[in-house]
Amino acid sequence: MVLVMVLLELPGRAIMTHTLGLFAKEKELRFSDVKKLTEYLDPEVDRALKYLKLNHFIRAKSTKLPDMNRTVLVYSITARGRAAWEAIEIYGRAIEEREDVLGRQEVQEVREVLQV
Amino acid sequence: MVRVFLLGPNRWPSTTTDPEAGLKIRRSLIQDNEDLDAEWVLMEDSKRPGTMTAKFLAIVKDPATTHVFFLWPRDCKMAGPEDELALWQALKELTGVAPELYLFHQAGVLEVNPVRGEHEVAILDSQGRSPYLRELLQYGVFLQEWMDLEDLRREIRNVLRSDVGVPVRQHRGVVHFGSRADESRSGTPSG
Repeated sequence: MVLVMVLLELPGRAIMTHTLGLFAKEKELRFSDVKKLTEYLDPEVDRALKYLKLNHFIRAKSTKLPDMNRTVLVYSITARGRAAWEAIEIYGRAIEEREDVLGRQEVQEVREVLQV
Repeated sequence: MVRVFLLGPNRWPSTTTDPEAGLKIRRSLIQDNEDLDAEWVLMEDSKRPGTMTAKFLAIVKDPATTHVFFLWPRDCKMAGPEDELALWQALKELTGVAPELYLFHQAGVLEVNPVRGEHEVAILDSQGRSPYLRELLQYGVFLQEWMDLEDLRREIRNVLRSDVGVPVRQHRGVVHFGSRADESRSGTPSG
């Protein structure tokens, strides 16, 4: 479970997993799309995208903005990112199923961290 | 099946005395990843008769060629490779269809900055380059930064395994010892 552990060891891990979850649902997202969907601050979005890219959870492609003379990056999930997200989802479902043993509060805490 | 057309300059900045240093590096990168289920193409190995332009176009127009990996070391003379990028751009402009281009750029070649709510990207290493090259990023290019040759080796493998999803080749009764394990960089980015 190294992929998941990489994410869970991070400070600000809820932002990372939340952002990764967005990419699992959307084909491509730009900086501004992530910001709109999450309402995180610019430095938080910047850090999340750079971290996920650095660790090959997402990949970056250049694109020219229509009607504007700007070339920006658009991000999409990688095979590694999708595998990590699937593992996170499975883990989230598994602990929910054992809430009777683990306790509601503990399960809630894990769900908040994983954003599942 | 993934087929990668591997391009880059023959003269490498740190080893300018060897006119084939870049080709040797490209061959060694292929060797590093021979355990992966991918095919590799080098211009230098093409047996197709005809001009270099015809050879290049035959490779990139072949539907079996899925990716072009382009190595861009900082401050490197690369007239031929720049022309190859322009041909790739022309193919994309004319047909809308071309293999996915991954630009493996050494740190300092490009910069990415958060500007007016987007991650803006620009080529820094553009002095003396063709004006066509400055338009390259507008054509939709996947970007991967590297620091030094060791990092380039890691990132080529990481892109193949993690981004593209190339599996390790299934060996039948043959065991290879000492193959490189996949590596990834971890840690948080600064800034």
